[in-house]
Amino acid sequence: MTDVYEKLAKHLDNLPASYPATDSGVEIRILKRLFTPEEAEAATALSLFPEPADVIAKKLGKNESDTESLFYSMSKKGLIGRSGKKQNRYMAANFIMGIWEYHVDSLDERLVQDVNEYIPQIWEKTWAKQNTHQHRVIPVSKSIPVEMNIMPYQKAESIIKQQSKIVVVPCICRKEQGMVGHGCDKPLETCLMLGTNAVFYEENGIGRSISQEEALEILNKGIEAGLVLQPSNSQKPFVICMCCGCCCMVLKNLNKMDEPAKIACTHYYVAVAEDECTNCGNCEDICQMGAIKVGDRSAKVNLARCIGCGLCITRCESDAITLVEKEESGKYTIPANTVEQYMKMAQERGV
Amino acid sequence: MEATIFETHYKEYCRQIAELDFSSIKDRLGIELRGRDAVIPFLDKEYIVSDTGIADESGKRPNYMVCVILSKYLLLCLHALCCFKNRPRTILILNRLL
Repeated sequence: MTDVYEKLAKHLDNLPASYPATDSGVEIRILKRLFTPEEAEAATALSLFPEPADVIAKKLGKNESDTESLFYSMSKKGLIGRSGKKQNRYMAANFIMGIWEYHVDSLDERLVQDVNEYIPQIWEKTWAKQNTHQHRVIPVSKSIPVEMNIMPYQKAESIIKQQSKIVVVPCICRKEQGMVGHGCDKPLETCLMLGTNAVFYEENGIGRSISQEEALEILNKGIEAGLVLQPSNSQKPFVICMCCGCCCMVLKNLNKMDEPAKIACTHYYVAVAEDECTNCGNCEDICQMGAIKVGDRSAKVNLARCIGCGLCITRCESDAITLVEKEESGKYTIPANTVEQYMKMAQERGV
Repeated sequence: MEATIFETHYKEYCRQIAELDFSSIKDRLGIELRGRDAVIPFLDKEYIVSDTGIADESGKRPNYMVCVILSKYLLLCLHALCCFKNRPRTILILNRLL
């Protein structure tokens, strides 16, 4: 008989964001830390279609009220998703982004160590091979030339101004890295949850609800601190992450690659005007990808590493760096919404 | 531009869906009916499936992959009711599709 945790691991691996098996079995250890056997079994009855408890109870052959109580408790613990206005509906949650991030307020050191062992393996087995990633990179507004036409979903300020609900949550990457002695001094309260995702966080008591104005202030502080803007990968993102190259699970793994620009979801890169560059090194200091370095006479951009975040432009005192939009043929198609993003991810994985 | 085969398949799904009696599968799936239309929540969105086609909240047809998933969700449920008494098998099929 298949172990219930192995069954759950396979179930999570059938979701768009993956949960691949490893030789060490760390993925099973993680599930055992998070789910009781009963919760693990119940979670395997859920799909990405949010369903009310009575429907799921029939599948499980269980009593409706016990099922409602179990799933509500699981959704409050961040093990599954919950939505619905008139009645609660329950659905499967990806491990990342999903279950892991929902645990930002309930991390323990052993869980963090296991997840840190596991994430590089997810990266290698799945994410690095996909065209559609969980995040995309958008340039900071100060880096966008006035003559460049840019879609509203490529500007963090425009995305924020479209939201009726925003919840700010501590960055799980910097928080967990801090817990195991590898943190940095960049701001912690920076993850902006948007729309229905923000409602879920608020109802679960994670983070705090903020106004658009405060979100814009947090955004500016993040940019000032040198954080890369990474919304989830659709035109209607459910989160804007602000990431550092040292802690972020995405940037950290991208940084290990020789040519991260090839797989990062971005429409931009930067160019340096050598005649105007004073070779001061500010750009090199701020770049989270090691993509720009001072040279003999001017800074040089390694286009294989530049992900077009535009942070270097905000630090250039001689206006020598310019944001450049890729040719149409070099751009990837940004999914219209989260559903289409996940469908593309699932299709690319063949699940 | 998408190949015409996708449009052909979409029309075939719509034809099969037009033959469905949504009220017979409504309670099995926990979906809401608005008149003759089925409202299907999927991830963070709701889609409307009717005799005339599939649309998102703004009335636009979602992309082909989403149309297929929603069609299968409805059609396989009916299939499961007819062929299997074991509902979880349908979910396994859908989970593979996802």
